[in-house]
Amino acid sequence: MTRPLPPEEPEEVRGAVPADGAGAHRGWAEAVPPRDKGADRAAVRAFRPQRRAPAIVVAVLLTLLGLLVAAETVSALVGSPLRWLPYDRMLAWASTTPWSHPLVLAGAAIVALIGLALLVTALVPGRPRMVPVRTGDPDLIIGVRPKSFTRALEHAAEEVPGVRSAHATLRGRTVAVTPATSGWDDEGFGHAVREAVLTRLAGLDPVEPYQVAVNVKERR
Amino acid sequence: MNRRTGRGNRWGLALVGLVLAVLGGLTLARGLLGPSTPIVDAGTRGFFAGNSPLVWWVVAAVSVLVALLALRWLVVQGRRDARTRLRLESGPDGVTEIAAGGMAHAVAADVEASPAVLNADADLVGPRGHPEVRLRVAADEAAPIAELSEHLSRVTLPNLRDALDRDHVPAVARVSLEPSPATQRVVR
Repeated sequence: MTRPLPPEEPEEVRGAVPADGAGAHRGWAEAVPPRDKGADRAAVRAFRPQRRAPAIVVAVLLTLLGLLVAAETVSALVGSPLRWLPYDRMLAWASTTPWSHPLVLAGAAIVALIGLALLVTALVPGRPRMVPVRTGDPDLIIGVRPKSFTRALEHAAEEVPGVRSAHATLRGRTVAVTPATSGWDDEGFGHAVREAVLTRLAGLDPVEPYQVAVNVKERR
Repeated sequence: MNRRTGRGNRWGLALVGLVLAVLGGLTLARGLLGPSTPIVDAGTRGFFAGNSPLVWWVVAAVSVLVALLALRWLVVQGRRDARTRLRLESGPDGVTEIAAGGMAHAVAADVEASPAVLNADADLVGPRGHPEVRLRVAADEAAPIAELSEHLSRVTLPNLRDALDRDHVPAVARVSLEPSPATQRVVR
């Protein structure tokens, strides 16, 4: 059974660290790097997706199209047309087909949609492939692998007494933590898990604030 | 990773996308709103007949240009910017170069000196005269990440800047967190 915690304002990482947070780090000195907005922005930007796959597809198609048209026109200009394309038939079709032909309209709509999709791919930043963390140094960019990030938070949740196991997933800027318990002391338990996860999150110091959602799963 | 490639990809995709969207949109508008004449009519034929063969040379030149640009775009996708040698100085008396591999080893060893780091690997990259460092770090999960960033920013990077004699050496670190070997986890 999955039971959400009583409704509560999701807390952001910063400012929500419990006062006894230092204890969770077991002997590590607390060193909070200075805030540097430029460094933060650079870190987020460094791990944006590069759009490599769509770029390769478009580049290959453009290369082939350019070569094909060049080969056809140049070969015709020097007097020995290649005729890889049946352009006499294409010309005959275009000479008799009006602009309002459904096939022409459908083709134009598809081309326009592909164009819009490429524009969106180019302009939407996309989710970073790493979780950028704060360094306070414009020359230093650090990203944590998302898998490592969630696993560290799972381990933090698992250290709360009563948690058998915990699962954490990243959904946008929210960390969804699902601890499995044998079912005792419902409310306080969820809060303890949240505190533990928030403390660990503060230790990881991500550039972008994350919210923590706890869904307690009871197992009997 | 190469940040220039990412930026170039986005520019290229935006340009091609814009051209396709405009072409598709105009054709759609012409078909729905304009008079229902054939796609190729007397006017079109007249234009090509009147300007032949110049117009076909222009078409050929543009398509060659498109093919070359697209080919270059394709080639930079495989751009690897890891360097084998780094030039420290060049002047009338000669050049000073060092092997990038040795330097990268030294950087990795420097990173591993932090108690928060279990394992590290480094690459020196970047165009001539603007070296950058790429790090892959396995860090202790229990350590606050600030421990690592402090070490990199106060020890590793200053050492590297001194060694390369540069004011700035940008660094990008990809960190995976591993459970520390010393901690025993209790299974309940």
